[in-house]
Amino acid sequence: MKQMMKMMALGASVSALAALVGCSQAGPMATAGEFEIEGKVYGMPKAEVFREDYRGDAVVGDTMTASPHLAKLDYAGNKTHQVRLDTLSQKVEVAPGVSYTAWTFGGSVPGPVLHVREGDRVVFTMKNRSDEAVLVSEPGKGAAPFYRQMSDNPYQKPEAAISPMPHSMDFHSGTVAADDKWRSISPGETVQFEWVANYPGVYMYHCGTSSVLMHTAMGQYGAVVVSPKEGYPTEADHEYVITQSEFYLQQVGESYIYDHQAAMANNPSHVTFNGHVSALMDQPLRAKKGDRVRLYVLNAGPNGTSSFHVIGAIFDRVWYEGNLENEWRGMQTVLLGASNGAVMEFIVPEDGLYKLVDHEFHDAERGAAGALIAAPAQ
Amino acid sequence: MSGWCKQWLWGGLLLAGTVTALAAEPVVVPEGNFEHPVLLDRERRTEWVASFRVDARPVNREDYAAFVEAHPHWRRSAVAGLFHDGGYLRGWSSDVTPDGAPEAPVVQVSWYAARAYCEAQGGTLPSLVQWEYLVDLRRRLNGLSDEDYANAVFAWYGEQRPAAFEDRALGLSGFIGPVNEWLEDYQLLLANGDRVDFGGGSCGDTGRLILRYDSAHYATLLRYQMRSNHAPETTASNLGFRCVYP
Repeated sequence: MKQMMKMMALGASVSALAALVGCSQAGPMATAGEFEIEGKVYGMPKAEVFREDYRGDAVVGDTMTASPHLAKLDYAGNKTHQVRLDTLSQKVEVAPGVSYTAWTFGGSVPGPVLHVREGDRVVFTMKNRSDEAVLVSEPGKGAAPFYRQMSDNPYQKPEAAISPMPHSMDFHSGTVAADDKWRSISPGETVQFEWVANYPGVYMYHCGTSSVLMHTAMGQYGAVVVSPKEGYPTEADHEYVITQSEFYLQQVGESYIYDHQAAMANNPSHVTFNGHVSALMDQPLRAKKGDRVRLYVLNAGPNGTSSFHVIGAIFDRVWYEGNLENEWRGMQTVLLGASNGAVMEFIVPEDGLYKLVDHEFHDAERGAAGALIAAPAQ
Repeated sequence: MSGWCKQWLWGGLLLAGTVTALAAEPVVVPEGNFEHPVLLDRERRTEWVASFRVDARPVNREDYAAFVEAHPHWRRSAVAGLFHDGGYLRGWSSDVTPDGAPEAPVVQVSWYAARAYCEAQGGTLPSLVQWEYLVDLRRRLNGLSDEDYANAVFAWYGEQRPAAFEDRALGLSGFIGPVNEWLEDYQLLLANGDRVDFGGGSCGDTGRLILRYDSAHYATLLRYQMRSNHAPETTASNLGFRCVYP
C-alpha cells in the first residue's frame, strides 16, 4: 500500500510511532484514534477545557525563547514537549512613546518562539489569564529562558494589564480539527490539546477567536520553528528568528487603541520586526565576515505582505515555508504573504552593516527595518 | 426617578456602602424600532421593540449576596454542578460574602444563575434585541457619534477604560464596561452549538454577517462574537447581568 490510509488500532499505532520517531527519551505516546500517512501522525485526542488554580509562570517549556535568538535543540531524535503559553493582557511599547494594552501570548508581542523538531509532539496548555494582572519581566526561580530574556531586554517595557476576553490558540504547525483544538476559552478557563509537528518550517501561531482581525492586530501571535528531522544541508553560524507584523493604533486622549478603519484599509500605524520599530536596531543581529546566517522569517500580518530583503546580501538558499523540498537559490527578495514564512541563508560578504528591510518601502518607513552588523570577533 | 435623585442614590450607595440590597428603580425604556446590526438568517431586519423596564445598572455583589441569602440552593456550596462550570462565585470568601466592592457588578455567575436571580425579582434576563436596542437607543439619545461609540468599545476591550460617555438621557450605566452581560437568548446567532452556519463561533469569517463594514458595526459584532463563546454554565470574571421587567 502506497499510503497508510487506514486508521490503525492502538497497538499498531504505538509501534508505528516508535519506528517513526525512533525516540529514546520521553517519546511521543500514541492514543487511540491516531493514524499515520507517509510518516506523519494524525488523529489527535480531543481537547480538554477545565479550570485550574494556576498562578505560575505564563510561559513554560524548554525551547521557548524571546526573539530573535533561536533556542537550540539539545536532544537527539524526537521528544514530547510540555508547553504552557498562557494568554494575558500586557501594556507594551511598539515605538517610542507609543504603548497600548496588547492581547498577548506570554506577555510579549510577538509571543515567544517555540522551537521543536519535525516529528516532535507538543502537549499544549493555555490558561486564559486576561483577567489577571501578570508581569512577565521578573523571572522567578526556574522560569523559562524566555523570562530572563524579557528581563534582560525589556524594549517593549511590559506592564501588567487586565482586559478580559475570550481567546484561543491556532498553531499553523498543527494538523488538527480547528473547531476542537482551536476552541475559544473564557477568562479563567484552561484548554489543553496536543499536536505533532508533521512538517518542518516557520509557522505562525495566533488567536483564532472572532474577530480574528482584531485579536491578531492586538498582538496575539508568534512563531513556531520546526527544524527538519535530518537538519538543513548547510551549517549555519547564526540562527535568528524575525517576525514581521503590523499594528493599527490610533491615539485617543493619552492612550493608543485599536483603529479598525485603519486595519480594514490595511493602513498600519507601525510595521515592526519582532514587535518594536527599534527591536532590531537597538539589538542588531551579529555575525562575522564569511559567516552563514540563517534567518527564520515569519510574516504574521495580519494583513500585509512582506518583501523581505537584506541590503548587500543575496540569499544563497531559501526554503519557502522552511521545507527542504521548497528550495530556491540566489534570491534577492522573498515575498511573504500574511502568515507565510521562509528560512533564508546568506553569506556575510565582508565586515559592515547590513540592513534588513521590507522592500515594500512604505512599510519600511513605518518601522519594518533592522540591522545585522558584521564585525571581527572581539 | 429624576436625575438628581438618581445621583443622590448612587452617591449614597458608593459613599455609605451600607444600604442593603437597594436595587435602583428600573428605568422605563420607550418603545421604538431596532435595526439588527448583525444579520439574522441572512436577512436584514428591523423590528419594533415594545416598552419595557430595565435595571439602571448591572446587578451588583451586594444584590446578589442578598439573593443567595434568601435562596440557599444558589449558594456556592449548594449550587447544582449542572448549573455552572466550576467557577461560580469563585472569589467569594464565604457563601454569602462577596469579593471586591459591594457595589461592583457581580461576576462569575452562570446564565442559569442569572436567570434564577431575575426570576426571583419578578423579571427576566433581557433578550438580545432588548439589550442591543438599549445600546443603540443610548447612542442616539446621547448624540454619540459612530466613531466615538466604536472607540469607546475598542478602548474598553483594550484597556478596560470606562466608556467615555455618560447616559444623560436614560440614566443607564454599564453596557460598554464594566462587564459584559448575560442575555436570555444570547447564543442564537453565531454559536457553534446551533450550527446555524459553518462560519459561526471562531475565526475571522463572521464579518460578512454585519450590516455595514464600518467600525461601529464591527465593534458591535465583537459583543455578539464574545457571547457566542459562552456556554450557559460559563462563569467568567467579566460576565455579569441585569434584569428587565414588563
